[in-house]
Amino acid sequence: MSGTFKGVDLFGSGPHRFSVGPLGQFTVPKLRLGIIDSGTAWLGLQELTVVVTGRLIAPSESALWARRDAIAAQLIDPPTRGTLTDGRGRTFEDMSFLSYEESAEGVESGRTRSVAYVAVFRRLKDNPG
Amino acid sequence: MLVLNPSSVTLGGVEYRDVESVAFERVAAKEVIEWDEGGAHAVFADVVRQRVEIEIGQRLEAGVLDGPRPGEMGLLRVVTGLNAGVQGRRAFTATCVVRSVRVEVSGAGREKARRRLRLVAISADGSTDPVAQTEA
Repeated sequence: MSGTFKGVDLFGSGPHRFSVGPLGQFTVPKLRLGIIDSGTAWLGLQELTVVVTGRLIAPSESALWARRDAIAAQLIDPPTRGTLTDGRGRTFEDMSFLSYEESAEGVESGRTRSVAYVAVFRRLKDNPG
Repeated sequence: MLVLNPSSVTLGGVEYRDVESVAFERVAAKEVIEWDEGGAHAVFADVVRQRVEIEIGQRLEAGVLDGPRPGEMGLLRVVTGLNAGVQGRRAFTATCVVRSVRVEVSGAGREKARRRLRLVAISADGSTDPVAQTEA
């Protein structure tokens, strides 16, 4: 079972894992806010972040590019909200696709062409799109 | 792949006599193994870097004062022996870099001396198999 974003199977070509976090209060030292105090200021709960780590796999270079392009097509400005599913029954509503980054190792060529990636989704408080 | 008692072995244009064996070994240099959230077992594996290592075993009947040195590159050509099989004699060629040259002496007598050359085969473009096989 593979995850989807806005109903599109972006990561199903290879294994991938979902992780959540960090959760909880977003805090900063008060000093950073110009307050002469050693304490910590809390600014509210952090936005929900879901990170997908995995590997895109394709039988050829062109097929791998097609999968990368499909992901890049979902990175739009401004980001728009959509539903992210992990393929195992968990659904994250109102998520924005923020970033996709490939491993510094680049494309690996063996029996297949593959590349490891990290994709970040976040439930933005302010909806730009 | 193992070639026993090849009829001819040349490396960098130099002929090596009394070669007993030439072993071509294919070894994974980097593997990609991935798991997903489904369970404990790997769901994807690929070998994305590999080496073709070649070992030449040569019987020495006399002392040798010179020979290939690590880092030297040359074309290796191995021709199988006359009794290699029904398919006839085959020639294997590969551009190689010398990794090590070792001499082993066991027991007394020069017939116990062996030289082992370890080579790594080089591909022209990274995707072409570095070892070519033709009819000799």
